[in-house]
Amino acid sequence: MSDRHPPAAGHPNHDNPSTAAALESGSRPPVPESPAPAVPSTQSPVSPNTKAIVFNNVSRFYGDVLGVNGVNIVVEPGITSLVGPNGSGKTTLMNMMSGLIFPSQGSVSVLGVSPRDPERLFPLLGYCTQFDSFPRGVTGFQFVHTTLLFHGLSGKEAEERAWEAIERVKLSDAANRRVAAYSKGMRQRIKLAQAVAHRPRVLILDEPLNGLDPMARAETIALFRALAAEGLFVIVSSHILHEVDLISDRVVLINQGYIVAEGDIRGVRSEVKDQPMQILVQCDRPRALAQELFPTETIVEARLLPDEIGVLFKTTDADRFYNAFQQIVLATGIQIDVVRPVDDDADSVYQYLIGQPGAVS
Amino acid sequence: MTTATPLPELIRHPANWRRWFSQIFVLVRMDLLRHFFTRRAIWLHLLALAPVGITGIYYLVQMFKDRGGSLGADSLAFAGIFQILYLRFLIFFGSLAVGTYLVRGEVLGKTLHFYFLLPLRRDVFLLSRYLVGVIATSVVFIVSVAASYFLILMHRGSEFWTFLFEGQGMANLVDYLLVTILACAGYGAVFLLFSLYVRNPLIPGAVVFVWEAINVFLPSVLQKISVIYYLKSLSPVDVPADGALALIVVPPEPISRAVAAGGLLLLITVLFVLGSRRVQRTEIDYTD
Repeated sequence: MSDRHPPAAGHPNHDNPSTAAALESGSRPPVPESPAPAVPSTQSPVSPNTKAIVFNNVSRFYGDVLGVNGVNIVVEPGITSLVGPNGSGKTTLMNMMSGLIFPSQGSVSVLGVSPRDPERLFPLLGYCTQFDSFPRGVTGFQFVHTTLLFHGLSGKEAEERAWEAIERVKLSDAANRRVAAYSKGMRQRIKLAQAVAHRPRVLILDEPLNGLDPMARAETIALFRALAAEGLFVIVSSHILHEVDLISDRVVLINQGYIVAEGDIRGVRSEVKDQPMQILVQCDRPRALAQELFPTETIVEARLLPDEIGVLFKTTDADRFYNAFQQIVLATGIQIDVVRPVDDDADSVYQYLIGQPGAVS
Repeated sequence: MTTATPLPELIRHPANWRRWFSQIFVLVRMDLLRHFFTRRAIWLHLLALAPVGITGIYYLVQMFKDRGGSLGADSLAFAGIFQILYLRFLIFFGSLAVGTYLVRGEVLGKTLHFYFLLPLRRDVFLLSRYLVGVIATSVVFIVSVAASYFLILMHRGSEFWTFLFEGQGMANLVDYLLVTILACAGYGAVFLLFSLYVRNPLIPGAVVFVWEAINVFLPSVLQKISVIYYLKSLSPVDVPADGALALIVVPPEPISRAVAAGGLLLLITVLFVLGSRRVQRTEIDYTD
């Protein structure tokens, strides 16, 4: 956690009229009961782009049921997390990126390539799906190796790459066993190995941490970070929000088929004006600090922590708060130990914008 | 940790025939064996074994009794068995069992996404599945047809071997086997296409069976949209028949064997193109 807000890199998506109106009126954005159609984004011009993944006014309906509606997003390199409750449209977006399903309207382009062109798409893209079925009878090694043969690699090259990917997910010992005998976590890892084996530039991971034990989770998250550091586009859906915080450079919050917010998590948080931001300060004289700050009218609430080890401030304007705070500290000589926003994580933003507490399920 | 490699290094061959052939080879090698050795394949083997059992009994009976009739009569008997039993029923239902499962089986097993997430054209995928089906059914029925052929004729001893190696016997056998392959290819294409549209294989099975059965009563143009129309003209030995049997075995509009083979291949191509168009639009939805 940083002590200070970074510049707002993202914002709640004003494409969703209900959310935008709620943000401007200062009330909590309601969960849309009957989602209204989205209007084109005012944030990022969406155009065919060979350096990003672009959703251009994408809607998808399953019969009469809304999958996603009016999605305009541009995904850039780094780790982007899709966050939302079950049935919100996360997997629909991922499946449209990979051509497993097609938009009812609008278009998707992955680094300038249409998902309808598998020969050009899949050298660029690896997809670790939530589907947990494998071709019958294959071993872990065969599963990865066979995939590589389709990429035009020779048998020997494919073998080397397959082992490299399998070692990367730490499954070498079990590679020659049949996948059918794998545990849930092992199946997740072999799918991950298959997705990264051909060294794609875009990696789509649908609930990739499901079934992994804590050690494997930590290793997998480290792998995602390393891949993102290499310049990959890593798109993750996860329902474990504290892991989203650990993993993500950006989040896309989605609810009932609408993009509710997108961007850097702290940037998104700073745009949620109707929910005062909570800032924890630990210092030697919390009561004095609170008394000094109240007259500046930059805080709406101050709550002393037990044993007076600090104070929790609520402010609707973090920038003004930090200016006033800095001047007071300099003037009074109060010794500051910690200054930390406490509700600029994915969980808090999720609660504010989507309105369901705790982990998404 | 390795560094991400740019795309061009991975694609050693541009999208071309060579690459497609190599992908088809990998897919066929991957899938072929399981079409012989799965529980589902038992039905195919039983279908193919049934006439072998019958002709085997016939052979044993003939071995222990006075051989009446003639080699010609036996040859005609086999022609009848081939046209009626093999073409109308066994190869038809064998192809139904295999063809309708080639893609549908992947949907039921929730494994279709594996193929759809490869750098593989969907029509190349479909072609490979089709080839797997045709090879699987052809191999089984070729063995069955050849075995039945020998079991019906072989009891005639030296007369048969002379007929086989010095007369028309070998040419007839090769023709029967080629027609068997064409029948598997024709019905395989029909049922592969239907399986892309219909979930329950019994429905296309019943529809095609009736369509093939009433083929002789259809207008000339519609007759050509059937597999049996061409197969009738390809059979190497004509079966003399009257009445209802003639409707089954005698081509209503005799055409040369070359035209029949060409027509059937054209029909297969049309069916495959339709299937390709369908599979391009196919979406992964395992809830079907």
